[in-house]
Amino acid sequence: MSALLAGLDCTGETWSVALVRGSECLAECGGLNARAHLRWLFPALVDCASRSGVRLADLESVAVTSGPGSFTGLRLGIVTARTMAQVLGCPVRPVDTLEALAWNVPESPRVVAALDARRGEVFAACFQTGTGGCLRLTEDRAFTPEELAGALESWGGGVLVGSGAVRYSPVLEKVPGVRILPPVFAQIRASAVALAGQRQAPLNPLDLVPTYLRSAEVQLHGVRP
Amino acid sequence: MSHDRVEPYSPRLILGLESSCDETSVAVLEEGRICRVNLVSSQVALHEKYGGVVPEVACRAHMEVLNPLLQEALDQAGTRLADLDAVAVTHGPGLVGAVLLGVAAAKTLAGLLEIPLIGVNHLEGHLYSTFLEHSDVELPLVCLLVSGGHTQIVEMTTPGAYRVLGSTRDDAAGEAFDKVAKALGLGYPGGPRVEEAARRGDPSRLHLPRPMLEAGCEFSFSGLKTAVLVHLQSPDRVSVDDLCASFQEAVVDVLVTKTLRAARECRARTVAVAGGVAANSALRHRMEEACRKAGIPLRSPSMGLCTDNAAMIARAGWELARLGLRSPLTLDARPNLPLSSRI
Repeated sequence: MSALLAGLDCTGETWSVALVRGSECLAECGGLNARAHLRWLFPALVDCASRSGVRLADLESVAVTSGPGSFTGLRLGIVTARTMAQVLGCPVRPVDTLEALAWNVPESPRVVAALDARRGEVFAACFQTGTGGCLRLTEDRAFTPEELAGALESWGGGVLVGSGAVRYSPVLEKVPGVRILPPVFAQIRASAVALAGQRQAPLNPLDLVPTYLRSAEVQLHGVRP
Repeated sequence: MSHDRVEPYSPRLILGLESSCDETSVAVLEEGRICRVNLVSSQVALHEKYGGVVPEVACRAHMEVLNPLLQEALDQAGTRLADLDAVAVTHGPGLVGAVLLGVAAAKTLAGLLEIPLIGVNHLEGHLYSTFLEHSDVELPLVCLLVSGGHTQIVEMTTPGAYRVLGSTRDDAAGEAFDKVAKALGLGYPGGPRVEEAARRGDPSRLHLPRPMLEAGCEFSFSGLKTAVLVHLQSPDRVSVDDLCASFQEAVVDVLVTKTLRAARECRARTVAVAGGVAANSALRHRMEEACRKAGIPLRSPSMGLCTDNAAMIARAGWELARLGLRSPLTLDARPNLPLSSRI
């Protein structure tokens, strides 16, 4: 039987957990309420296990979005995944948040995943998606909406997905060849995190580090490190 | 709801987790008394250059340290995760992004190990810290909880029954120390720096106000802090050492007077001082003297257990277990959680 993986994401306004075996999602659960992430994340996973008749003790690994994203949500997901792995004696598989988001657009030569990073910025990267998964075309970085519009122009447009794309659509949709997907596609699915995780090398839970893309000192100095 | 009522139970090995401010701590407590391990990873050095706790810096450090510290604590205690009988965790008050990490780890541990999860109020932890070292604490206990974030006088009549007799209306005592230290350019953390300067100074050199000295158990320290700042502008200012000594004397006067008054009114059989400021030696000496005169035993935790630590959280969790309390896996972080009675 294929390996059982858990997927976790709470790096944005939404949270999602899933159990995946091979290419199938056994159970998935989520919600839209950033204040309820802590309350529901782990209990929902327990619920997924009981509804799909599997034991969390049988997990082969835990896949989790490792950033970029909301700092607090990012840490919550990572600590939960690390602790699960510590108890179960299994590895973790970090998945880039923007890659997990790009999975929402199944077959496209150019998917631009863009998260609202607050402070007038978006975290974005460009991918090519196909049946085999997701191929990265650019590295994650922070853009102002205007900078991203410029980059989109040089890439020749693409399908835009994510909270950053939705928020800054007035600026971004002016770029020729750009299509912006509606908010429902901006919600990251934990099943995609687990499926993307299958392709990531397993890590010792203590070696998992978050991708913040921003210094902790932004809190003191305002925009940009 | 943060707790469900169940049959009272008595966990043999209890894991404690604390991450409410700038200390990450993991402890393993046996039979509610024997502290097998109590590891504290302090972030004081990280925050020093900012002159105070920066929440985002604190949360990043908690996340880095929490899981390795858990592993180290288990190794040092000679315990496996499977041996644990319950997990106690601070779920407030504190920095929400920091508290949340301890709670996330605790509920994951409790859920996977199928053992009770016990949410503990951080202040409740301080209240029980004195029981870790003293087996002769007689109730009612009147405890002064005094730290960088809190200043309260609490009466405990039986385990789980607390009454907050008074708290600060503005700054906590430790906060006043930090602000005065900052104004004097002494750096962070302010408490130890002011105390060190005060040791060289003359406390009678400058008379500072004793705010609300006659007003029950309520405190106010912001006026005292302002008096120090105003004095700094005056032409005939005293030396930094004398100023620190006079300021510390005023704070200690207020804390000791009010605690002893509360102890007499409650007919307390024990007095304790807990929290970070309880490490201040002037406060310790004056409280000892006052309790001796009043004939009430003083049973404060030792220095290491005054500051934030997980052993006190584990002890409080053990007490809550014996009262038949456990938390659901939906336990939330509560940044402004008030101290309220369990029975």
